Amino acid sequence: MTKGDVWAGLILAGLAIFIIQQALVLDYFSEYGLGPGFLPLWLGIVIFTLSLALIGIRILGRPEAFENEGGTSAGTGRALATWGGLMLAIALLNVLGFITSFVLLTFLLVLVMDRRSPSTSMVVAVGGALGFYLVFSAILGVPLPQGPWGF
Amino acid sequence: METLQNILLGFAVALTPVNLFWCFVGVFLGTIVGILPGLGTPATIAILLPLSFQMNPATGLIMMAGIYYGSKYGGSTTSILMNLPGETASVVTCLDGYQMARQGRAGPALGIAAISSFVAGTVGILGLMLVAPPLARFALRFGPPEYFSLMALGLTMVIFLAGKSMIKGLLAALIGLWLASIGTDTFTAEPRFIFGRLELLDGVDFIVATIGIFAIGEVLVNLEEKTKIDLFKVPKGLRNLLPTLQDLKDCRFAFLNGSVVGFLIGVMPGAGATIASFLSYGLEKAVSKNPDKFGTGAIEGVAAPEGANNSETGGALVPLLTLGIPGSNSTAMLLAALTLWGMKPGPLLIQEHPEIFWGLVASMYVGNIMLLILNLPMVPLFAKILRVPNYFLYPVILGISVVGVYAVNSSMFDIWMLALFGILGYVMRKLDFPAAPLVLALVLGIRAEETFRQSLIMSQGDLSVFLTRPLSVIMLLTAAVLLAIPIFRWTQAWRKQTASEEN
Amino acid sequence: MKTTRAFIVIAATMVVATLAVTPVNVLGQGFKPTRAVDVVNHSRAGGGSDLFARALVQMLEQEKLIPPGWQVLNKAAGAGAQAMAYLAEKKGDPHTISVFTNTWVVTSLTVKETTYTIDDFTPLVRMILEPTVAVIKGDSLYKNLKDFVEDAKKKPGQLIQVGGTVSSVDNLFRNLIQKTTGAKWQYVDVRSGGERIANLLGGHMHIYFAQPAEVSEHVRAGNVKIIAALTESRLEGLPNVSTIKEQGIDVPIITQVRGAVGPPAMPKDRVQYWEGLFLRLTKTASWKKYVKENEVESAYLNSEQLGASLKELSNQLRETLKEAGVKVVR
Repeated sequence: MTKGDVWAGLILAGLAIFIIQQALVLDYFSEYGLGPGFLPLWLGIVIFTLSLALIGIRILGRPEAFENEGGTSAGTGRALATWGGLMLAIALLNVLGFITSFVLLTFLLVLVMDRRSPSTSMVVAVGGALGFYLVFSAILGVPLPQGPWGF
Repeated sequence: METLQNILLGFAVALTPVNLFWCFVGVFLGTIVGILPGLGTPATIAILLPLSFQMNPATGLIMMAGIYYGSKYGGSTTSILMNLPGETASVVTCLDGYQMARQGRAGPALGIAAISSFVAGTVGILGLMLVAPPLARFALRFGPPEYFSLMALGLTMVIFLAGKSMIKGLLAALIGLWLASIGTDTFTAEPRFIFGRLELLDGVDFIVATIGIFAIGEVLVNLEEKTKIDLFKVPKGLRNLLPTLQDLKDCRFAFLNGSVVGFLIGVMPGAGATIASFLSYGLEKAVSKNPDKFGTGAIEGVAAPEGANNSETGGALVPLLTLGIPGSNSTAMLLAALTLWGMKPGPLLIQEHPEIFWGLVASMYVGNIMLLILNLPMVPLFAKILRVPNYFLYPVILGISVVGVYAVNSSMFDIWMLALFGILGYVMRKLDFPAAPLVLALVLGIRAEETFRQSLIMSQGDLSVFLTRPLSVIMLLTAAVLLAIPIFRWTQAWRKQTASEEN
Repeated sequence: MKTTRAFIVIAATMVVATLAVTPVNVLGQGFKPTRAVDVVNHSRAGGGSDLFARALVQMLEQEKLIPPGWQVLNKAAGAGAQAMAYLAEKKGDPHTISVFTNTWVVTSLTVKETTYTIDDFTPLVRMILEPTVAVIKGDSLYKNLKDFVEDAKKKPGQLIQVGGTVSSVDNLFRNLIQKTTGAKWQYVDVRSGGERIANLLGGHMHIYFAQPAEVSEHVRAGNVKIIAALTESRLEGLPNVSTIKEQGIDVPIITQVRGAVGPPAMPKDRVQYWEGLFLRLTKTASWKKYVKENEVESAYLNSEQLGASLKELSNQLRETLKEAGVKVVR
């Protein structure tokens, strides 16, 4: 995890610089006591310091016992692909409606991620979507994004 | 004697068939709303408001309050089963509850949540019944400096949630504070960090962030492995599906802790159930003999916050019914309902309409028993959900998250934020950053900053305002003591370690 | 399983009840809605505008001026910004209107990210004016606002007023009074109305400019007292409370307005429908009861009058906001 911590530290340090830079635009004091820039400025400074400390500890300090949670790069790929699928489904929400996008997402997840047969995948996808429609739309009356075919 | 007479009057109101029926409808709907993330109590009350115009105010209030405390019961279910907190107050329940479920102890976790909710809920009602007026007057002594100290006390809970690396816990909390600073600064009406998006003017929605980081993040981590192996073991037999006597014994202190902390925090207008649940969890861990067990499936780690979350209801009704001051969105909605029914909730309500106040109190006893009877038998049923194959469970979790978030504001922007927080939750888990401190800081951060600045306006910039007011000092001292405990333990462990290495 | 079925029955009844909308002919000829109308507001459930919208729908239903089923939609983000954006999207839709308050005007003036301003919408009607009163704790020694101002002069910066955001009417009044009298006191922004009263009752803060209905129960219980009406003339419900001008403090009066607007460029016949509907509402018993109970002033204006009045309000708020130190972007 050493490498991961260094990366995390660098990203957070970058975020801290962004926060400080934005905070400097805001007023530190205002007509009403402390201004909007007060908290972000200090937050930025502390985040910056701690992220450098995180990097320092990992580079200089004793490496901690290896943690198994790192996973494989193939695993990361699967997770990112799932996330991509979710993003795609969200993008389609307003075009196809919730139910159809949900069927598509579920179908792909079960088929590709879980390597089930297309027929199983389709049954799971349609069954799940029906359940959602029943519980949320029909019974609870929660408004779901609708597609051109009215659901 | 007077109290006894009053409570008899209350039961006379609560036990009429009409009120019993609507009380049941209320707690039942509440449970459903609690189980489904997102929808939330204020929205449900708003939906049902037109229906209640036909009722008399006592009946209406009994039903609405049923929804309110009923939803607290249901809130733990998805947290334990799916790592999907339906509200920010349930986030701590995820920490140990979900771990218990992974170890095949979903049943005991759900069971203890229901039992703890019942015990603490009842204590909350007792408090509401016996000490409401003096306690409400006491709560008025909380001004901005006291609230800031309370928020500071809440934020020290980060150290109990940090996990292996304190630096990472602190960084997660700081990111939470930064997320909390997004939106319009109310003191100057200036927007901060809104990246040109109008939707961010009101800040980051807690629910969206929480569901994204916990539920979506969890699904992504789990999907790394092809799900051939069933992650969840579900033991057969009813006995394994409910908490054992030993479990109940282990939770004795947690019941008490949750009840008292929840009720007291609830009385403070604007403090909220989130700080109550986090505080009771931190307290539980601080006094525990095995603090290392927390986060790996400690049953007390479920009982304490769930209790606090429910006892908070009784507390929150104190300022509402004695002073007409709502402390949260849910109680504000109850107040609004009372107003629309033509009542005038205020300091004279109990005096002038005893049947409403005492009827409500009595109905809450009845409702709590209904909830226990309703919830315990559902435990085995819910625990069986985990037998559902993962390839079905994960899409369902994604779907519920999306619908739950959309139900709050009907906003596509919220769903995009959900996906964004989902990937953040995944990355945090991969890099071993704890998520709970982030959510805690996000929820408390806004009020911490507000009350800090309010206090300094009051004192014209003098920081000693936090140290010259007794209640504020007491809370800051408590925070300092709580901070000292893990540091003390940590240095001891470190000493032992270096000693053994030198040998 | 029985419980599940009971639930489905209840829920189904609810769904049916909300869906079963039969168009009712309200005004004879011209435009009339053919389905349930969405009434937008910029509060969360339970907030001021949400309650106003719900009360309007409830009264219209009760007086049989509309069929049941009209929905109240909450678009709460950005103090009116989200509600304005949503309403602008509904251009041409005859079944969406929105309630508005001063907040829309203020947000139009102070938030540069808003794509729409109040001027973009079709003014429909003004319904009420909400008066503001000055409130102090019941055992406070001040007898009127003048006393408070004099005391503030003696110890500048030590007295504290509690109120809403800096762009709210409360703070604008504070600035106007400070300017004419030379007194100085602090202003603390507290998020919810309930907590503001709690801070006043707890003695942490000293004065609150409130709406009468917010505090009337506390006045009745003797917890707080009203020391001045920040209005042009004495309030009907509070005949013994003198106005700020009677107390010798001459400031312009800013009033909180509530009414309705429609999507941009609404055709004339639709505007007429809404004018007629709301005018008829103001003549009903429900309306009179509402106005009395909420201690507001019934102040109907039609579309044209409202348009002119909004322009005036916009100019007044621009000036006072600037003087209160709030950044004005338009």
